[in-house]
Amino acid sequence: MTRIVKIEKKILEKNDIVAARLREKFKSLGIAAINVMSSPGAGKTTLLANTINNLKGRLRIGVIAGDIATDHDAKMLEDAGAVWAVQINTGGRCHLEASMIEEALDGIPANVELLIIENIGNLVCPAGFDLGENFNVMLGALTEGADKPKKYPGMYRACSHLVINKTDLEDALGVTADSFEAEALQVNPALKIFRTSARNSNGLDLWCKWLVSVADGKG
Amino acid sequence: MHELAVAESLIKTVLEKSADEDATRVIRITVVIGNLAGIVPDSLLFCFDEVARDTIAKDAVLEIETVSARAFCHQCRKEIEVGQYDFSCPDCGNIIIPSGGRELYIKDIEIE
Repeated sequence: MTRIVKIEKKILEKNDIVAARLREKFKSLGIAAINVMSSPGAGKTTLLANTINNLKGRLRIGVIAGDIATDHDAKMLEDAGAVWAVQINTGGRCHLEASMIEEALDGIPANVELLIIENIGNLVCPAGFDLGENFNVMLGALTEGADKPKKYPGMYRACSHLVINKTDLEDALGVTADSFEAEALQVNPALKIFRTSARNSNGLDLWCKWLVSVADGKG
Repeated sequence: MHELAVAESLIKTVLEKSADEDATRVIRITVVIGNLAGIVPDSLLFCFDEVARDTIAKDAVLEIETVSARAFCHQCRKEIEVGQYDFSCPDCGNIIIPSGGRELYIKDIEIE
């Protein structure tokens, strides 16, 4: 005999449960967390390295860097001055999940004030997985073209903040930060936007100021 | 291809529930997916076949009910349905803020 059984359960409920546990843990440790997402090559690691270097002595930053393979990013961010850096290699998985963060958090020093999670470079998948963060940050680079927010709206809608990077290349690319920003705001009018050139540190001050306010619980 | 992670999570919940109910076979699974949830139905169906292999759900039909996000256009003063790539009101061009559309849950299963 067949019968119908109601379930009414979120498919990613298990991820959400772990993410809620992480949120509690961050709170009890006094750590603010941001989840930084972008396409591969947008400049996440360069931006974060310069950010960490800029905030050295002012903010104790820990990092979890996600990549399919290699530990380049964690090493680079530790060299930049991160007080703690751990690499997660997903071995092919296209996004980070809450359980990976929970596992990686073992051994995080109590003095970390801001945890930056550098997600896998991907404009689709990371948006669907809550990692217990306080803020989702999208990093878009001018080299991608100003049409990306509309081509990958899920990602831009999942984030509260956007960093437009590689602004030093406006002339060479014929793409302006203004046009990128206008397109992004059409997809998500609530986005708060920073403009940076990670390579020459332009625009880093406002971004760093915001990170300090996030760590103070005021972001 | 995060649909694989979604399919893995889906089959896990379905098999747990089926075991609780002493089922010997899963005939149908109905899931509800919002059009802004970032899930490609064909891709989920493909991944589901892979993860359901060698389980009591291997012959189950995965039914996907899609629901659309909605938005209120303040210029036209009316509610509109929001497509995955709609960013403005189709009538007046005003930018809209969608609500809903991110649903991703298992509604029910039919078991034997």
